[in-house]
Amino acid sequence: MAEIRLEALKKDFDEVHALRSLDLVIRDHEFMVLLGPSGCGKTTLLRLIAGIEKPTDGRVCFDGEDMNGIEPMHRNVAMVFQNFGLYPHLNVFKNIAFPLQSLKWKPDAIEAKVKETAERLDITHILNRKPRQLSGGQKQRTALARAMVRDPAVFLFDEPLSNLDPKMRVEIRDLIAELHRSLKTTFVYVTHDQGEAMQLADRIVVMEEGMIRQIGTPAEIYNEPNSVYVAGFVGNPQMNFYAARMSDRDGECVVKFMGTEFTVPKSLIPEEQYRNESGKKIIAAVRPEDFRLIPDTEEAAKYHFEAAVRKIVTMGAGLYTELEAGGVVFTAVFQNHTEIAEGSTVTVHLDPSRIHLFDSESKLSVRTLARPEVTSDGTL
Amino acid sequence: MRMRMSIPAKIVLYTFLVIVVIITFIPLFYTLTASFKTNMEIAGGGVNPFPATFAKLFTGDATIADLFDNYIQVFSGNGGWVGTKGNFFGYTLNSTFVSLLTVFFVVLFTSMSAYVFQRGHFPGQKFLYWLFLATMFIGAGSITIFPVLRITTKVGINNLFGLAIVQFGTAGASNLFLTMGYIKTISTELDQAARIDGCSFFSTWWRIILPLSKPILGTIALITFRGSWNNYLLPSLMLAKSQTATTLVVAVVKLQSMGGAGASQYNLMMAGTMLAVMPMLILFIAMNRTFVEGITAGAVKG
Repeated sequence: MAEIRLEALKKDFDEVHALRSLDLVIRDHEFMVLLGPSGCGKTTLLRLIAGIEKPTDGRVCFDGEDMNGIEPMHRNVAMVFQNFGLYPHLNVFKNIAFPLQSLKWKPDAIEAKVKETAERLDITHILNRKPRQLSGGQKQRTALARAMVRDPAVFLFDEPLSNLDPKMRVEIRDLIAELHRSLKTTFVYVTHDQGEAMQLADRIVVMEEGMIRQIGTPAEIYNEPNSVYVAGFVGNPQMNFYAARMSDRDGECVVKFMGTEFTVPKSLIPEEQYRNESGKKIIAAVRPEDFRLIPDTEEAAKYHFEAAVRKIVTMGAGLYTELEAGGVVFTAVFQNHTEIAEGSTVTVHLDPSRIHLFDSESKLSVRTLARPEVTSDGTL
Repeated sequence: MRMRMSIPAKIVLYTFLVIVVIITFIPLFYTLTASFKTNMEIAGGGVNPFPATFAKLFTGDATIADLFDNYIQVFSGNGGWVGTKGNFFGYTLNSTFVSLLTVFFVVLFTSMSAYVFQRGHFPGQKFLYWLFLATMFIGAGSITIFPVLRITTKVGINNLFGLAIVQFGTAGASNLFLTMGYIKTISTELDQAARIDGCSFFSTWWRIILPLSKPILGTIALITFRGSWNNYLLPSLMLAKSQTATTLVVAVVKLQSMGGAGASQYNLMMAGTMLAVMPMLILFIAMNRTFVEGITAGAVKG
């Protein structure tokens, strides 16, 4: 059990700033996912927590205790690696027993503990095999067993699913989620896959270029992205961005894009902003699934516009369509079996409350601009 | 991948290979047959590859013991030179001892230093690395032999143990680079896993890197063993004063110059040579696969 507190944590590799003064609190028992593209510093952050790397500056604290200078083993952390990190010359049993041998456990105690752990992960039948004789899923189960075997306070995962085939990915992902529920310890999980992040996380940290962009629950990250970067990174297919113009009309904020005017709710933008900056450019963004098709039979509601259907791709659960309206091309996702044909024109409705607005210069959400700074533990 | 070849190309290739094999085997074959001949037979020359005793075996004029007379002599102490005994059993033990000790030192320190150079970071690392590299371009052997002898004489280690130390010390940097290349192919993820699992820098080497670099170390052990076993110049000089504590190869050559009544005893030399060559031959045939795998594993990522 451990609360991890990172204070002004910095890491430079020669001239490269991998992490630039980062503050973060990972709560006890929390499943925290570090999400970002490769090179954003998420793996470096994980290694600093593990103690494999030394910070250039700043502190890593476990339950308030400074971990600087404390060896990985004495931090009581366990790590699961992308390439499994199994010792190829040792069989599964010896791989799992490895950390216990380092801790100088007695042989019969080791055997009992390894067997118990192997049973829990359903790998007792492969204890005598070498890693090269295992499937990807079995390898990652063995790696999980090795991590679990000494009851660590913190589990660290470095893209553990990226080397597995899709079916096994789901299986191991569910296993990790189940382990988090039953072990009740702190999990820190690095991935570039937003789907994984959404499914596993209690909270997500979105990172870019060694900095934290946003911290929040999956729903917060998805529904209230605080910047163009987060909005664009999370969500598949990607969010649509439009160059829009906002204006103050009788005390209401009107945003115009795709040749249509939308009166947006006051919760989306602070009043003084659209009052003072009426006529200013702004970035409007809409998630592809927030568009709704209006059948010919239904009477057109407010906030609708005509769009030409350029392309349709059937992606199982939904239809990914490329639409064009007001000279702007954008993506929309509709339910499967929707009656729609390429080359036709459809009527599309958009609820203005689903629009996200970002400052065209700072690329930050205008909503966030009006709010106090996000504090280190993600609370507002 | 197996190469596809046309039949004429195959014929050319195999003819070439057969010629190479014959050229390689003729001296060995000559030595083998000559080791069963008498000195007179060898001195007399001629092209008959079979020793006279061989034919006599069938007529009953000679026994198996007569056939192996040369071998019996080099082992029984009569194969030698005036005043001392040619004890080939002892020489074989000496060669084995020196070679194994050299191999032990070379493998241990090559693995350790390659690990430190590959995975460690310490001040002066680059300088030391270049120093190692530089030794590859200074011809060991004849150039270094005089200073080496001066040192060993001063220190007083002109013995088998000293020989192993010097052979290890002059083993050269190529082993280091081979091993470094091999360790580079071992994922650093394993080092990290080991550190999290409670290994220090040293125990990561001992528990992970050392067992995983077995193939390349096996190859280096074989090359080193062969080098030490066949080494002539250094042991002949370092062990010059000692007549009993000498190595097999040196003893064989001694048969030439110190033969009774000044005449070279070629028959005994040939028997001695066979004794010196056989262990290496058997070792190489047995370890052939490991040897080749080790060499290629260092070159290509496995």
